[in-house]
Amino acid sequence: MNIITFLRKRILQSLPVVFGILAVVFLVVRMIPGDPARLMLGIHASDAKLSALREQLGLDQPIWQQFTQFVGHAVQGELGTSLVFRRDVLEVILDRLPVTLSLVAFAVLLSVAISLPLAMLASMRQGRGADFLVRSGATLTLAMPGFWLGLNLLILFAVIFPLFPVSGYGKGLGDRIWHLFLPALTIAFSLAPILIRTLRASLIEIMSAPHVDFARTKGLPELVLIRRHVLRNGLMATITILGVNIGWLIGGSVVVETVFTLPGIGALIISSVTARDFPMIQGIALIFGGMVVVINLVTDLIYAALDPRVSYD
Amino acid sequence: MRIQLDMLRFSGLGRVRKLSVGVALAGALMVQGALAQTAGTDPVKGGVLVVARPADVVLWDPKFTNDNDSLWAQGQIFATLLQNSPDGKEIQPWLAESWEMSPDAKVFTFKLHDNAKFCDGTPITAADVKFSFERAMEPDSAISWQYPSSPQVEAIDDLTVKITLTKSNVAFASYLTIWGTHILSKAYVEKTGVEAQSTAPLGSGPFCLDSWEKGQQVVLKPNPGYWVAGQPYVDEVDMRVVQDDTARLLQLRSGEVDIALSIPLSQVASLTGVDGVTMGSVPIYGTAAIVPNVAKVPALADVNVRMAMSLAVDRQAMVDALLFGNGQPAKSPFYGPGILYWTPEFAIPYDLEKAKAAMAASAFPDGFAATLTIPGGDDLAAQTAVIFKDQMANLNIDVTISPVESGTWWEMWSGSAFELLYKLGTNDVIDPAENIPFDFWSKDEGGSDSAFSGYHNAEIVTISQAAEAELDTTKRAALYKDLQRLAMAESPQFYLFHPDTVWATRSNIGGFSVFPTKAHRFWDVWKVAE
Repeated sequence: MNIITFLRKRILQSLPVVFGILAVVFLVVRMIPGDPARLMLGIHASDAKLSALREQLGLDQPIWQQFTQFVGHAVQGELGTSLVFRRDVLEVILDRLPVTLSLVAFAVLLSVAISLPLAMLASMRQGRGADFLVRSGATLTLAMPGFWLGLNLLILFAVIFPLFPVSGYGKGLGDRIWHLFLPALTIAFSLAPILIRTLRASLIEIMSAPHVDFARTKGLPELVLIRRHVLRNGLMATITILGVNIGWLIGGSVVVETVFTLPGIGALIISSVTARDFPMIQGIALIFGGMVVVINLVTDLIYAALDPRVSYD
Repeated sequence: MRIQLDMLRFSGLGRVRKLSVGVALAGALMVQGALAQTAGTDPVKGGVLVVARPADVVLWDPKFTNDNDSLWAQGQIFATLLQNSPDGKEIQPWLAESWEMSPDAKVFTFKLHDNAKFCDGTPITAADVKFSFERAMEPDSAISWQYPSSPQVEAIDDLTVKITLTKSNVAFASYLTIWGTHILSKAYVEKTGVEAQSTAPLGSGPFCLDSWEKGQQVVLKPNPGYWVAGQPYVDEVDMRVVQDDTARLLQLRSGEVDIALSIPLSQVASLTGVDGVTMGSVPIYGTAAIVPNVAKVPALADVNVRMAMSLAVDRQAMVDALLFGNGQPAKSPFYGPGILYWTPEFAIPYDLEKAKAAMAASAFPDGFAATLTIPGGDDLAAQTAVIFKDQMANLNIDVTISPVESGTWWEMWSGSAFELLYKLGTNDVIDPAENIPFDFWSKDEGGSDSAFSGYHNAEIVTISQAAEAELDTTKRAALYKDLQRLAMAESPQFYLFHPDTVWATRSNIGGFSVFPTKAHRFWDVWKVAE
């Protein structure tokens, strides 16, 4: 199978996934209590005004009819108008997407920067003290919930030792990196343990492989050996794990953005749920869902490109 | 009325208390040299005013606005026909240079300034006023409630607007000072469409929107067509979003910002006495209250039980513990001491013995159990609920606190699906008439079944309807006094306290204060070079 056929097949496979996400989100936001019309018109609104608005918004129609209309518009790229911002949903999302994307990208960078040396150390000292420390440290951080860790980092590095800002997004590249450091670190702490464990396991496996034994008998220094022969192979597993987890990371940004009050999509989805801004919630779910599907697809492609043994079948 | 959900955002002219710390400490600090510049009493021109606010503007279109941070920002760029006097006590002309009310309080006529212009230089005419008001009254408008008594708007000529009400309403004029009656340009809205009003509004007031970096900063520049000569005093206003309370205070202390709004009440003490910082506070037109659902819980329908509960609440303790003393115990169903005709005469004291006696006289002497629904994530609500629960235990009333997500809380309240419910409601105008239909009238009478509680007292309804149409202020005062007496004798709600709103400015900033509605304005604020 060539890459085009593979892509076509994968895109077709992902359509039901995106559709499923939409259907679930569409139903769930309508099942929870809370009336968008009441939230829009406020506490003074009379029952007559509320029902007139519900009618205008199409909320009085049967739910399947609302859903088919929504899907019909979404296919044409129209996600509707936000009930709160009174602007095109996509426009509001695009305003805030850079914040979330930079946060996730920064978090991925940080988690790789943390995981690589630690996994190498643990695998080279397998079964010894350093290995034990890294592994138990990883288990411990994995068990920490993001909001708890984020708050503690805030208290420690923004309040007690005011090295970083408490909230906000900043202006200009340097300022933004400074603002995003703690939130990105919070996410990195939840991702790094997974990376460390996978990377350590695959490094240990590769280190006992024949080609590594051979390189070692050639007299290659240990660090060169690791870099040239072990790490490259070990990264395969890491990329898979990263790909799988980026979707989860985007979801995790909801909590972290709220803790650090970053004006990203995560914070937007919270405020949209609170205001029962149905078009906005649906739009964000579609964009998030689409992003996860695309990232998984890209991961598969990278995987195949890195490892000649992987075919597009 | 708006409902305040997040007390952390709480900041707010009945009575302005100002501690001019910079001035007070001037003598004492002379030896230390570098002294903060003070603003004095004479306005000066020029400078950039930097304001730190806890949240950004959501949108600029008044028609769909019901969040505070948006409507306060809109107030800088849109004109209204009338405005509150700086002390909040009276209504003054603004875009309308003069106005009159017919003797039956049904017909209001306004004469507009002939030199008032929108930010694009086009004149503001009666047609724009008519267009703006009719747009605001459309069915999908979030602000149509600010047009009581079904007004008909006519543009008599370019500069004359006539508003006719279907029934007499002396309080009507007070609505013409708030965001629901902001004046938009008919031509501009028709040309640019609805969505453009959310992000690119055309100002009609003292300032124009110069730029909006979403989530970061709003920049306002003076409107060259503003009709009041010499104002705004400053050349530019930068409204920065600084969400974190501590960061706002630090930026003010360092002089990075000139005004910090929404100072958390817990931090008032730490700012008091800081050199170069002037603080101000005012009790807001707003009441934290617990609504008993008399239609759902038989015990709460018993007036003896409600009076017992009201007597068992130590309001001063709540003010001290929850507001750090920055507030006042509630003494009337009206939304604060600044509201017209408010009287403390019928306040319910904290008296546990009387409370127990009232409980014993009720049909439920052995107590009962009830659930108190509060909006989740609202610290003030949660803390109030804990104290309330504790105090009700004295009457053998077992209160279970149930925090629910805020959208659900709205649904439960407006659907009368609660037993006891915490709310912090505000009055947006100085006249008590705004919230009386909501708090006391049935749905059939045009209200909300008394805040969805099912309470009804026909006498209160009759009195309030008479008061709405009463032009004679002495007679009106007597009617409202009667209303307060009747309401306090039956405790349709447990009125708890009015929190202060607190702000802080650099001492070189003059003319700034926050109104008890928590609205504020920057066009008559000046900045002396530091």
